[in-house]
Amino acid sequence: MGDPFEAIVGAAHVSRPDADELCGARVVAVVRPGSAEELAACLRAASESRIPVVPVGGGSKLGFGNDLDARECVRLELARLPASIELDPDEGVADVAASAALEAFARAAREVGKVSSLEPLHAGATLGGAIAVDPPGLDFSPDARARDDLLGIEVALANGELARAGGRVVKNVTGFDLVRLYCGSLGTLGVITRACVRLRAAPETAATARARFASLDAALDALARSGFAGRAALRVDSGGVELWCRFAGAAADVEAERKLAPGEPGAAGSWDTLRAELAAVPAPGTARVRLGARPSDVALLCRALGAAVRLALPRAGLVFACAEAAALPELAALAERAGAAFALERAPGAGPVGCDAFGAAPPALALMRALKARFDPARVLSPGRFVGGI
Amino acid sequence: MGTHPTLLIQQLRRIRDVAEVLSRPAELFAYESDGLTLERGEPLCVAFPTTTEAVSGVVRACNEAGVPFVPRGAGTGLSGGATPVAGGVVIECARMSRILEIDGTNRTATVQPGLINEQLSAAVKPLGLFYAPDPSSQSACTIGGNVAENSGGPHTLKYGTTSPHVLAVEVVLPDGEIAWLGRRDGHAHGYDLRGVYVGSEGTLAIATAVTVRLVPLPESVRTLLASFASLRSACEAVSGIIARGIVPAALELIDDRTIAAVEASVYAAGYPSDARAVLLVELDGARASVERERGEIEAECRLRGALEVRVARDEAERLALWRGRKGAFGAMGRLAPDLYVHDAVVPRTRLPEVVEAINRAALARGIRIANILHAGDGNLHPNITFDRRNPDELRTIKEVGAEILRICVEAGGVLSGEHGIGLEKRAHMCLLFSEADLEPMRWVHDAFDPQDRCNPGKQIPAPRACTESNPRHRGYGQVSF
Repeated sequence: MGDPFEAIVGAAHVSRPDADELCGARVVAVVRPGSAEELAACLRAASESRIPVVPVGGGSKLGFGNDLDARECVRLELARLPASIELDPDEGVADVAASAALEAFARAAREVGKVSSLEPLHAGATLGGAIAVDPPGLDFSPDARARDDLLGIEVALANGELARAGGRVVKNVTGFDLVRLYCGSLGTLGVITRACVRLRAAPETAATARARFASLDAALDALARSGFAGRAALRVDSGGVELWCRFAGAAADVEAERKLAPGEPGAAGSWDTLRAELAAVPAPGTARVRLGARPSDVALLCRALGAAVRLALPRAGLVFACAEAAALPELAALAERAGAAFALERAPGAGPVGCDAFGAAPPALALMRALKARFDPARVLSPGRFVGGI
Repeated sequence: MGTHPTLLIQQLRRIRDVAEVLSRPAELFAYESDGLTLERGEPLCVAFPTTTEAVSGVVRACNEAGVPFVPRGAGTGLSGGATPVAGGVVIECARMSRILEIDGTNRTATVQPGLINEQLSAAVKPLGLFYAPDPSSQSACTIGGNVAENSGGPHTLKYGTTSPHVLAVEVVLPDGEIAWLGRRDGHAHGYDLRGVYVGSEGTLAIATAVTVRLVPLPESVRTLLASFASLRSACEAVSGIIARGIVPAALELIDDRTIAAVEASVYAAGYPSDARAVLLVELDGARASVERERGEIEAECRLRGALEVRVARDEAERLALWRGRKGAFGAMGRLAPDLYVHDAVVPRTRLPEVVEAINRAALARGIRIANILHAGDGNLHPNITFDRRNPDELRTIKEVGAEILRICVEAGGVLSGEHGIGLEKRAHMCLLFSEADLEPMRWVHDAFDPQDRCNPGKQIPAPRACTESNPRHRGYGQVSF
C-alpha cells in the first residue's frame, strides 16, 4: 500500500503504525513529504490508488468536520515541508509557507509593526490549517474577515499539479477567485502549500474593559445602550455574565471608546486568555458548538441554548456553546429551526455524534458536490469530512 | 439549435414578468458591446425580465433552444464582459432595480441586481450607513454588474472591492434553477460559492438578488490634495505612505494630461495646472486617527518634494476635488473619439518604475498616455485616446495594451484590478497563469455551466489555448509569490 509513497518521499519518511486512527478511519501509512512537489505527487499517487488522505499540519483542527467516509486512510504529515515566513512590511504583504506556525507568523509580523487578520486561535496551528478551516475566533468581524486578507494561494491538487491563484497584490480580479474557494474547504479540494497574506499596521495600543452582569439580557442591554460600537464578547460562567469590550487603535481613539464602554479596565493579556479559552480542546465526550446568525438574533439564540452557552460575540452574530455528544443532534435541530448556521468541534478522536458536523445541508449542496467531483474525481481528499459528507 | 430564433423571441415575450423583448437591428445596436467598444457582437434579442422567476424562464427557454445568454446590467463594464460575442439572448437586468430590504440593525441590504450603485448609498444614508464599493461609474453602474466584475473604486483601498461586501447572492443557474450562494447573515458553511461567483463576469450564473453589507458613515473625513513636479516623486510618496502603514480611505494619483482634460471640462476641480501629478488622499474614521494620519501624510508628501499640500476646507471643496477625479474618464472624451481605459495592478512599492516603463513603452509607439491610478492599491489605469476608424491606430493601441500587461506581470503584478478579463484580456491570461493554474478555473466553470451557455467566450481561455497561440508556452506560472 505504501510503495508509491515511498517512491516519492523515500522509505525513511513513510511509517506504518500498528494501531492509529484518524477522523474515524484506520491509518494505514503516515507519509511525510519534504516539499510541495512531493506533496502534490503524493496526492496523485493517492488518486491513482484511490486511498483517502488526510493532511495534518499542526493537528489542532482534527476535531472539526465529520468522520472520514472511509475505513482506511493515509495520514499526510506536513511538518517536513518548508515553514518559511517572508515579510515585506513596506508592501504590506507576507509570503508564508502553509507549515509555518501561525503563532510564529504573528510574532514575526509584530516585530515589524504589523498584524495579520489570521488569528492565532488554536495552540500549534499552522497557516495552512487555519486557512483550510477558517474558524471564526474572538476577533471575528463581518467587517474584517481573515479570508478577505488572503491575496494569493498555492495548492497541491489531487491530479498531482501545484496550482496558484490570486497574487501578491492587494487588488485583483484576474480570473475566478479560487482563493476564496480553497479557504474554508477543509482540505477537500486541495492541500494548501503557501499563501500570500495582507499585513496591516499594528494598532498603537490595545485594551479591554470588563463588567459583570446578572444575566445575558442585562449585559446585551448595557452594551446596546453604551454607544460602544467595537468588538465585544459575553462570557458566561456560574457567577453570571461578563461583558468584555476590546479597543485597539490610536491611543486617543482607544481612550474615547473606553469612556463609552461599560466596565473597568481589564488586564493587558486578558483578551488573549479569553481567546485561548475559546479555542481549548473540548473535553472527551463533549463538543463545542458554534451557531451563527444575524447579530440581532444573538439574544434569541442564547435564550434557546440556555445553560449550554459559554461565549457570545454579539457584534459578529456568533454564539459558542458546550454540550454532551448525545445532545448534539438536538442542538443541530434547534439551530435549523432558528435559521442559524451550526458547526461543531470535538476533541480529536472523539466518536460519532449522530449529526452532520455542519448541521442541516446548505443550499446549493448539489453545486458543491459537482465542484468536489471535478477537483477530486477519485474522492481521496478527506472524503466525507466536509459539509453534507462531501 | 432546437427552436427557430423567431419562435424563441415569441416564446420569451410570453414569459410572465418579461417586460420587453427587443429584436429589431436598430434596437440591438446599443447592446453589441459594453464600455469596451473595441469588441462587438450582435445579439439575437434583448430580454428585460423584472423578477427572478422571469430570468429563470428566459434561461430555460434559451436552453431548450440551445442558445447562449449574456447577463447585462448598465453596460458600463470595460472589458467586454457583457458583449454578446457568441450571439444569443442578452438578459438585461436594469429593470430589476428594487431595494428588497434594508436591515439597519444588522447593517445589511438586499437588492435586485439592476439597482444603481449610488442609489443604495443614498437610500441608507439616513440610517448613518453607506455601501462602500464606489466605482467611478457609480451613478450609472448596477450592483449586479459590480458583483459580476468584483468592482472596485477609489475607496477600495480601505474598504475592499465588492467581494467582501457581498454576503449572499441569489442566482439563476445556467440550467434555470434558482439558488442562494452564501447566507444572508454571512455565516455560510461549505465551499464559498459566493466568493467564487463574485467576479466571475456572468459566466457562472445570473445574479437576481444580492445581500450586501453596509458600513457606518465615518465620524470624520479629511481630503488632501498634494501636487508634485514629477510623476516619479508622486509615486514615491504613495509607496512612502503605504510603508508607514497608513491605509487611507482613498489614495489616487492623477497625471498632468488627465489634469488638463479635467480642468478644461465641466468637472474642473481646481487641480494645479503646473503640476506633473497630484495625489488625492482621503482619510476617514475616528477623529484622532484621522488627524494623526493627516499629519503623517503631509510630512511624507513634503519629504518627497510636494509642491503644495492642500486640505479641503469644507464639504463643498471636498466634493469638488472628487468630482474632478470621478469625472476624469468622461473629461477625456474631449481628447479623441474613443478612449481605451486600461487596468492592471502592480505591487505598491514598484509603482514609480512601472509607471515610467509604461509611459516609455507607449511613447515608443507614438502614444501619449493619460494616467489615473488607484495608487494606494497599486491599480493603474493608463488611458489611451484613439479613433477606432483608424485601423493603424487600433492595432497600435492593442499592442501598447499588451505591452502594459507584460510590464506589470514582470513587476509581480496581475492583469486586472477591477475591470475584469472579459474579452479584452482573455488571451493574456496565459501571460500570468500556467495551464495547471487555469485548469481548476475550468473545473469551476464546468461545475456551474457544463453546457457552456452562460456568457460563453469570456474570462478563462479554452484548454490548450495558450499552447496553440504560443507553441513554446509551457505555462509561465508568473503568479508571483
